[in-house]
Amino acid sequence: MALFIALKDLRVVLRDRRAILMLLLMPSIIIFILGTALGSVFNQNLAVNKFSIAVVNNDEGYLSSVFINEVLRDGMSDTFNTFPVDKEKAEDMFNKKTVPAVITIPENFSKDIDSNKQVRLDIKTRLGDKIDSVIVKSVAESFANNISMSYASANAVMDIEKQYKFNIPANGMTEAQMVMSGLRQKLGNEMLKFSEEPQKKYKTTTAIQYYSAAMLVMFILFGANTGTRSIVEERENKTLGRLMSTRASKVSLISGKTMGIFMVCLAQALTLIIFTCIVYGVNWGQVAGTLLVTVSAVFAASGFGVVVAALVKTARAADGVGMLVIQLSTMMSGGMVPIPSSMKTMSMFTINWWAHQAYIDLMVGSGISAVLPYCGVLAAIGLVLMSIGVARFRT
Amino acid sequence: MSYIEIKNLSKSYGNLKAVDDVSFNVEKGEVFGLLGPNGAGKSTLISMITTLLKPDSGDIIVDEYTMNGNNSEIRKILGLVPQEIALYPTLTAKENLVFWGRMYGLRGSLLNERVDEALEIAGLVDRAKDRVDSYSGGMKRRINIAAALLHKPGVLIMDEPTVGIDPQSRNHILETVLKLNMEGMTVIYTSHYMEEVEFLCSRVAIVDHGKVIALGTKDELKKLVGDNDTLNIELTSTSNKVLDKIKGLNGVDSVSVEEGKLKVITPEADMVLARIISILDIEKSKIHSVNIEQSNLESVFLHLTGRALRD
Ligand SMILES: Nc1ncnc2c1ncn2[C@@H]1O[C@H](COP(=O)(O)OP(=O)(O)OP(=O)(O)O)[C@@H](O)[C@H]1O
Ligand SMILES: [Mg+2]
Repeated sequence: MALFIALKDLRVVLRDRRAILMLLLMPSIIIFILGTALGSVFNQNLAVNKFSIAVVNNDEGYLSSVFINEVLRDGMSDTFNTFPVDKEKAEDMFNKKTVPAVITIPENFSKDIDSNKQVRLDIKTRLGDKIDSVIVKSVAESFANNISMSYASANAVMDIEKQYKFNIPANGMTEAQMVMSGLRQKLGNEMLKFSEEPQKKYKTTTAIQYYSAAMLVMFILFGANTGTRSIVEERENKTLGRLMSTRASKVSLISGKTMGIFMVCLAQALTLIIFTCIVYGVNWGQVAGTLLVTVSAVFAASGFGVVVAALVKTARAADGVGMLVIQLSTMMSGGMVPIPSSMKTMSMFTINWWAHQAYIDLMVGSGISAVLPYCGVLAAIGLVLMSIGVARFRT
Repeated sequence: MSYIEIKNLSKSYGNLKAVDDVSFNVEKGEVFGLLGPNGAGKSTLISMITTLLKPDSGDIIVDEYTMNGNNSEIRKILGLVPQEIALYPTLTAKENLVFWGRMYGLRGSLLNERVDEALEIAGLVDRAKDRVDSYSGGMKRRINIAAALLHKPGVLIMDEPTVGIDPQSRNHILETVLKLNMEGMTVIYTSHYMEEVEFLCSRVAIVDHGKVIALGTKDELKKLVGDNDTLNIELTSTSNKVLDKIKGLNGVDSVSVEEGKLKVITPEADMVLARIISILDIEKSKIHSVNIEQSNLESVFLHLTGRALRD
């Protein structure tokens, strides 16, 4: 029964040109407009909101100070401030939210680079400060990469030196360090440019990535709203009465409706994801994770749809209330312009925030396990809303 | 035991008693009429019989299933034709019928068969692939009825199925109901059109202000007015004096004025008419037209309530 009701709804929606336009064309255009036009606002916004990073240096070698002083401090001075602190202090500042991120340089940082080993910087960031942390991450990683590359070339030069028996100064520095310091002086500026480049690239694509995620969530909610409409219309068309006189029960009606909303939203979300991926080059990250987040968000949105349907009487009211709530919650969650951190707690009351954060997490390369908490919250929201809706629904 | 038993059914909306202590039985195979003016409580009554609305008090038994305990069994027996068109306007007639058939539990080839049959009954086979919102009012009404026939219900419950349609579609619908009844279907037919109820129904309940004010076969009901005829007299002018004089005449049962026409109920139409003419002569009033009707359900309603069915 429920399935047939859902399929019928799907057919009705597909026949509704206005709904299709609303659900597919609109978001594509809005993502584009926001992504390009507001992209500059977005970038300025990041620059203005300069933030601080605590750096814990466990390394005694000299490369860590190069990294701190020249890369983090000088190179990135327009984006964030850095200050070295000890481990305890850093923990404390992080927990008190004084800093959004802590970079820990491991003990053998210089040594490992020297010996051409892979180095790992430990970067701790807070949930919801993904944009900031991505910048830190990309800077740190490109530094590590560049420095190993430079070292590789330095070693190569040294080998050649040795081979041709150039004279070697004996002033305590290893040869590699010597060459490296020479190289660094020459290439220093280049190196910084290197490290800034991927970060800049990230920033510009970020605007469109960010809005793709925000708008996807918003339009999933809009999709759910058309579902609300279809429930209310059932009452307005008097088909609800007829349905209740057949063998369809209230439970099969609501589950059918929910399934209908679910299918519409899911189809819409996947279309948008594929569209933005191909046309705007949005990188949504890991596929399985994206699917999981989408399903969770759609489930939460369906709950929202059912609740609105239970509370309003007419399709007009459903549209009005739905639009208002969706736009407000999109705004609150930072879906229109990034919101100041003082509003972050408030935004956590929206479906948008949880879904948006999860998408952004995936976009910056997190795996599926990182978004599980978000998905859990979304599923819980969906369940709660759904039960309220079912309890309040009158036939 | 009757096929359908309604016992002391009541339903209020706030202070308004929409259905007030209504009882009647419907026998298997009959066409039972519910006749009453707008707002009489017919739809409210039907909503309760079709499990859509919970009665405040009273019992409903359909084919030995008691309502509340066995609603799902009762629904299998019922076919409801709602007063409003209850169809999906953007779907085609066929899509609508297939959907409703599924809601009645039909699947596969049986479903297809029944849908084709229903389209045949509605006389809309060649329009089956058109969207319902492209249909005329009469065509919508016919599909609205067809949707209730798919599962071959034991009882077809029709709530004013001919409101606002052309005579051709109305005749089609009335013929259809008769045919279905002849094939054995029990029908409860609601209307405020006296002619339809008179044409279709074997037994009738007349409803007014939520109450059944008369119940019985057509002949039994007509006996309530006696062997009375109705004189419909259209005058060039009327006055209270004329009215009072006519009311005072011997053999006049009741007089009412409706749209400028006098309705006089009397067992002796010829004699009374002659006297009325002489009164009018004295009062210098002229007759525009006269017609004599034998008693019908309309006059029964008039006799019982002093009002016309449609006002
Ligand atoms: N949901 C409701 N809330 C309040 N009052 C209602 C409701 N439904 C019906 N009524 C009132 O109950 C009374 C009976 O209504 P009902 O629709 O049953 O009459 P009806 O005989 O079907 O009339 P019609 O011929 O116009 O369809 C009317 O006075 C109506 O205004
Ligand atoms: Mg009615």
